[in-house]
Amino acid sequence: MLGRVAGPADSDDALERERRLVERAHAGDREAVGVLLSSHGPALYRSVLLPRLGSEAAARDALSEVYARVVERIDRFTWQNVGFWPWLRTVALRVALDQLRARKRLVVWDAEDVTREVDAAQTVTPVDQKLGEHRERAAARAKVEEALSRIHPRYARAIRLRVLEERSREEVARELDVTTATFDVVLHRAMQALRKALGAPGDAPEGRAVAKRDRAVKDDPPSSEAPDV
Amino acid sequence: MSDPRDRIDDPDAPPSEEERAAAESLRAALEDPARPNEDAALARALSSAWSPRDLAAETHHALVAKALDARSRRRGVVVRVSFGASAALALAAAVLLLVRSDRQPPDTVHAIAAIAVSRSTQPLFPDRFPATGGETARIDRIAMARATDLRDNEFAKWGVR
Repeated sequence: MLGRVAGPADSDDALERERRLVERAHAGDREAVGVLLSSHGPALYRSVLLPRLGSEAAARDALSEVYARVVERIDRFTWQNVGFWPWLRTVALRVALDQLRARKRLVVWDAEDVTREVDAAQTVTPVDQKLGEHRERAAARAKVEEALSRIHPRYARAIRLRVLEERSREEVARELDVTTATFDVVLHRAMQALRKALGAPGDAPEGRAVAKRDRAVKDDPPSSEAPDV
Repeated sequence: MSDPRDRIDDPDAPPSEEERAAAESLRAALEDPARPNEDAALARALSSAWSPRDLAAETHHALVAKALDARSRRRGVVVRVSFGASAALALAAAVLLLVRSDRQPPDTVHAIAAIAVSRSTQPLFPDRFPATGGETARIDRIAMARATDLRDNEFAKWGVR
């Protein structure tokens, strides 16, 4: 059994153990496949699928599909000295991409982003792999920060406190110096503004395409002098 | 009545009745995930990206078991054993063993995805080009096309295309 439960192989010993598992899996050893999936699955769910798909149900379905593909195709995997994780992550990204293309619901990632990630997966180095989950998490947070930077700072703060920090609405209302009823309206407007910034259907002019084009130009930051609700 | 979009852009605008109702709906949906609400779903997507939660261990084990069971089924062997005992005969037992092959090829036999093969660069240049000048641009075009082929071939080899 592998001595750890998540992420890329991070030492020569772990890499060697993983190589042997892959060898056994190629020989038809069901248990070896199970160990490989059990070792990497939780990290794959937490750092690759859930952030991109935005819902636990969707990420669970995707993980199930990833496992089905791995079980079906593991004999096509060629061992390289970066371990099993890069291949598994690429399979997961492609499953996520399929889901993002098929879905209507708005999430932080779009299909175009994940397509770029799949392409970049080709050039991932062993050093990149060692950064593993930390790198994935930083990328996810940067994605959220980037989305929040496109809306009014007051809205961004409301989302940050209530949604990201999961504080109670009463506490956030106090922090923003408004009543809870007013805070509810602020949060509603904040989510509407974010939908607009992310390019929800019907909001094309403010959508992702425009935002991505403008990102290169770097808009002036929104005014912080806007009055409170 | 002002456009609701203007109110979204202006945090200071007084809320309409529709906005109050939508705000209440969002509040309720955030407290009860069973209530469908698009804004609450987006909020959960943000939360999932910001601080993703672990998958429950039992759920994960079930997913692994499901995938491995599917593999066993595909291996095409179904073993059915049944035991029967007759009270009237008291001493008789029946064992039925049925082994059936589903006549599918073994897992190791897969259709290999088509691999891009080496070929002329002529299709990359449908128009005539001058005998001199533009060499770098032409080489770049060839390099980009071949890089795409290489990437596709790698994905095909990995079985993820």
